[in-house]
Amino acid sequence: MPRYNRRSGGAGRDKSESRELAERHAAESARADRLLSLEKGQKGRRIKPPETDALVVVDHVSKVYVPSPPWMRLLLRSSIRRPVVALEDFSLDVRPGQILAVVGPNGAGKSTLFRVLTGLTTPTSGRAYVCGLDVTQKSHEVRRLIGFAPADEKTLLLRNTCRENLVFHGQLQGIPKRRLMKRVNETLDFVGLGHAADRVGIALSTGMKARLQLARALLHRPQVLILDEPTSAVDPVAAYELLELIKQVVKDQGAAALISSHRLEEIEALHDDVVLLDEGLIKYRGDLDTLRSIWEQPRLEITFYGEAEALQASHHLQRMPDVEVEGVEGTTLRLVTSIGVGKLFAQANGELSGVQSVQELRLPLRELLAKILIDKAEQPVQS
Amino acid sequence: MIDTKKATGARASIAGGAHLVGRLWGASDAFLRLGWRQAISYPLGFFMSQISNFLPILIYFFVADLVTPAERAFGRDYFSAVVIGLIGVKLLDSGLRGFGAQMDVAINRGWLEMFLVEPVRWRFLPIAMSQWPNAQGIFAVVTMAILGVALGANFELSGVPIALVIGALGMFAGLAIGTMSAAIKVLAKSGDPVLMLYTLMAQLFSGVYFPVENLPSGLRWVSYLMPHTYVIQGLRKALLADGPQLAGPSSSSIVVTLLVFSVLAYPLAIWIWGRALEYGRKLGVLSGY
Repeated sequence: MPRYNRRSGGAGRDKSESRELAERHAAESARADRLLSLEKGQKGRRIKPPETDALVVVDHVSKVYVPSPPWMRLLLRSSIRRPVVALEDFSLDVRPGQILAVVGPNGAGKSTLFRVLTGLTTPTSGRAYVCGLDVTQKSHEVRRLIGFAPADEKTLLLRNTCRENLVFHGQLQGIPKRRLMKRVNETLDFVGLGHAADRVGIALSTGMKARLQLARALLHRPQVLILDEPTSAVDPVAAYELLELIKQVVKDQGAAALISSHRLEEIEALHDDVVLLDEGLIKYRGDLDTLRSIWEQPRLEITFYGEAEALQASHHLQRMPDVEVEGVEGTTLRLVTSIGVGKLFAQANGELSGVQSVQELRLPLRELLAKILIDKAEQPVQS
Repeated sequence: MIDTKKATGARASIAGGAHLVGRLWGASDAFLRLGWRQAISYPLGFFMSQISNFLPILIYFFVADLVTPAERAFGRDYFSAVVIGLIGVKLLDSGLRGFGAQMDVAINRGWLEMFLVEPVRWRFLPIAMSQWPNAQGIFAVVTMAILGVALGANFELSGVPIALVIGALGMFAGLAIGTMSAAIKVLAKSGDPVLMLYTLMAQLFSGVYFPVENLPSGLRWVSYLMPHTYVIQGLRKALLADGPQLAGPSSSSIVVTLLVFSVLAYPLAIWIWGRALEYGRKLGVLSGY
């Protein structure tokens, strides 16, 4: 009698799951070992910074988190048991005036990328540069050039006023006192918190806290903005206003911005490049229109004058290659095709009669990205 | 003839040094204000922590009536000697625990990641972040001394200048040990096993409540490995009426010992702190506490 297994519902399935898991671990370990061997080869090598006008350059960066060494486990249990690849051979550049959205599921490597750029962690192999400075070797100088807003609002001094938060940050930035107060007031006004300058952080709404986080990142006029989910906790109107502020700063100051977000409609509204990350690898880099043209098969909705014409067209289209009829509902026919409207009608040889209107349906970005990430094996990797 | 190249270089290095001092001063000021703001955000807690400093003085005010110490050990005034011992421990503790305590606050409230991303040189953090606990420690020591005097403790005013020097060196020595301990904390994220062990040993071996000479002779060497012992002995020698007659090294050799300890231990502590942060960066444990 098979052993009762509450999770999987059977011993056989349990075994196959274990085998699959073991295979995944073995593949992950081999991937980690390969990247760790690159680290040894890189040690002590001096590499000339790339000659480019990009403010952020990430050059073949990999990051493997390894378990703590045994002596450290006396103090703290390691949170991982085997090496974990967070980024693999990751390259990108961000130019002045550009906003790059970093998108991907949890664990894709977004936070690791931001940690590398802010100097909180070092890459296992490869190099990253901010304004031509190596983020590992010139971490202190790089931190002057970066405005960082972490995802967690807890990083604000919630018992201090908005003004005190910025003054504290300005002092650590080394902004001279005679200039600091003026700069603090200007920045608070810019993000729309001038009226709440003397309100303590804990008394602010979530949207106001997000603005304060942005103000802190902007205070020292950084050349590079790194914003980790800046709009995750705010309502759509506040999110829109925040993104408009970010766009304005990037445009006015010629700064470069990296933004991670799970709100895909906001990324679409930025009208700039996107990097799609999955399991530490770049799945796609470019603008959203190109992404759609590569990944999205156009969906068409054709409305006929009568139901008979719609059914007749459906029978005909089902026989055509590169066309998938989704269904007919009254006088409306829905289909997916990779050949485009013009070609579709040309290939139909006049069989599509009584057409009242044709409408191209766009897949919501959320569904498109989910499709890309889920159908990993079926599509080519773009980078 | 003036070597203009050398002169320019010297001016640049002076300007660079002044800039670094300015940055350290700015960061220290920022953390001092932050500490004050946090403290007064919880008024009753702040008030109670100040009051708790007085309790040991009151306890030993009554205990002193029961103790008749040997003249060679503590002099004739046990109460004054213990008040000085408690003051010494308080001073050292603010150096020893101040930075670590501020690190705990930063870790628990989620600030540490932001502090590390700020363009403050990481080697400045131990001094900058311990400004508030040091200020609090000095305030506590002054109020403890005033209460002690009000309850009958006798201090030699002529010994105050040397006592201030010993106290300052003691705080600095404490900061060196505290920074080494914080280096472990930044990797282990919480807990303070090194400092825990050190504090327990200091309570036993540094002669706060009884003279070091009362310890078995085979264990006395442990006392002289800890700055606590030198600070407490130095303060007693400086401030007690018959301090110069007490056993142990002279005030000047105590000052020299503490100075040497600080000069050697602080750079070592900063080096260890820097290495720990670099190691933390490599492991990726400097964020996500």
